[in-house]
Amino acid sequence: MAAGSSWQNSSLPEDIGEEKINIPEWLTVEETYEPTKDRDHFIGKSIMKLLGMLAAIRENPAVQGRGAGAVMRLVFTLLCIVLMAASHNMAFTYIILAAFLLRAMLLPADRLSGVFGGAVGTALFSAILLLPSAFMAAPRTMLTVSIKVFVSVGLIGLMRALVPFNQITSALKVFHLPDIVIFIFDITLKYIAVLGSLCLDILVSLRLRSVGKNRDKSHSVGGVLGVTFLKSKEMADEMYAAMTCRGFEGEYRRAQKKLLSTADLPLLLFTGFIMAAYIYLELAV
Amino acid sequence: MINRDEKVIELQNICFAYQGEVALRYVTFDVFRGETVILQGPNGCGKSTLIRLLNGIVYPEQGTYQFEGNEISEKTLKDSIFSKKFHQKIGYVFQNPDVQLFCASLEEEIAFGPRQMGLDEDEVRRRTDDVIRLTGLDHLRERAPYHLSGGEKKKAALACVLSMNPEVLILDEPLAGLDRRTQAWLTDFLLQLKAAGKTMVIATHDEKLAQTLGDRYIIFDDDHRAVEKMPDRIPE
Repeated sequence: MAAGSSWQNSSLPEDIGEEKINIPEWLTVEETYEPTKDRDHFIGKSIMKLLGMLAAIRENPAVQGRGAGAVMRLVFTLLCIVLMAASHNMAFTYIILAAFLLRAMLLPADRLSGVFGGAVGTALFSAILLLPSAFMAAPRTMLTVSIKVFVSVGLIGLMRALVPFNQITSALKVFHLPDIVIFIFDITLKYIAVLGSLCLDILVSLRLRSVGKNRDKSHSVGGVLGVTFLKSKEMADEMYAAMTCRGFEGEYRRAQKKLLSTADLPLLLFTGFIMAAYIYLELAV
Repeated sequence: MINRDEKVIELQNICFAYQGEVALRYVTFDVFRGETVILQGPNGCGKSTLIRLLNGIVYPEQGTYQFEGNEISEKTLKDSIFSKKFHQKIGYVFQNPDVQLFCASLEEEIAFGPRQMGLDEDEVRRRTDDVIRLTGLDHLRERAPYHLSGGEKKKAALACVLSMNPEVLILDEPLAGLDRRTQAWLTDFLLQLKAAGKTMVIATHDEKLAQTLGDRYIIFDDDHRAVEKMPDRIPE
């Protein structure tokens, strides 16, 4: 084997081909099979849903590495949501809305559906819930709440589009969340991705073998979920064993990363402006 | 025996990328009926993507893929009858057998495909019994596939594909994770299938398996391009 070759040393014995296996006749003739129609869109739909979810977890944000860090973005997002919820002046909500729309405008087009899809959906849902109020005492309530929901969910979507999941969970340390809780978040995300991939592969395999009429689709779906569940348990047990082998005794410590950097300065200044606007507008009510 | 007049698989200038990351670059080759083609190359060179493409799991972004003269694309596989016929003709044994086994017992697992094909119960039973015997899994027929050992799972995955009698078998790293005895058994088994006229496409790093079974090699480089080599000299 030459250096640089990707062949691996074989452990196959020398007497290969000496064992006689009788292949049955049906396996040596061409299959004359004509499939019939069946409703099997559920496999395709499940595959597409899983692919979307996995892509959302795995894909790296388009603008990663530029602009403010995860801690600053998390603090800013939460602060905006809390102040907007507490604000009695709609002008403040409009300022946040304008800032959100301006920042969203700079996102690549493929990210916009992720940011606005959830925001529009939840805003419509809250509008439907509050529809009776439009015909009763407070017709403005529906509009106010819906806009605030739209901006809040939009801000979360924006942060998701700009910061990877693992950095968001790391940034939670700034709120003095116990390390073990952050670890659980991290592992949960990792296992959603890993088990999602497994589930996806099983569904693909099911689709490849679904060459005819499946009279018991629920049985097959049950099998997919059952195997995924068993695999998750096995993986969890193995991970715990691996952690124990590396000295884990129930306490998990993470290093605190640098809180702020110079890249955070513009967002820090804008946060100051938002807080000042909140105080000024609240006093003006 | 290879029938050089009949192309089963024809790939012409296939290109594929995952979100802008190139996985296959202008891949062109044919597979003739009864031929065994070995796919070889370093990790991440595009072998698994090609295997997924051959099975109609992903579609070429550029170039054409024809199976028995019919184009395989997202559009043609939207026709459910055509898609099912295609998937019956091409059997895929995954590298990780865990993802291929989802029924409650081994017997049910192997009978899944033939039952779907609408074969009568006698034929289903005959095929199930035959492949269980062939793979030496007789004593495990009532066992849940999830509780089989690695080698048994691999045999079970192969058995449930064989029970559908596909014309082309595609195997991704068939010897990975198997002990020496099971590797030898599987190689012998694939040799018998080859002798029985099955067309096979095998992605492997195992030099001896490639030498034993390969009629032709498709070698990928780090640039995701593929070149053909004949077996007079095992390519490096």
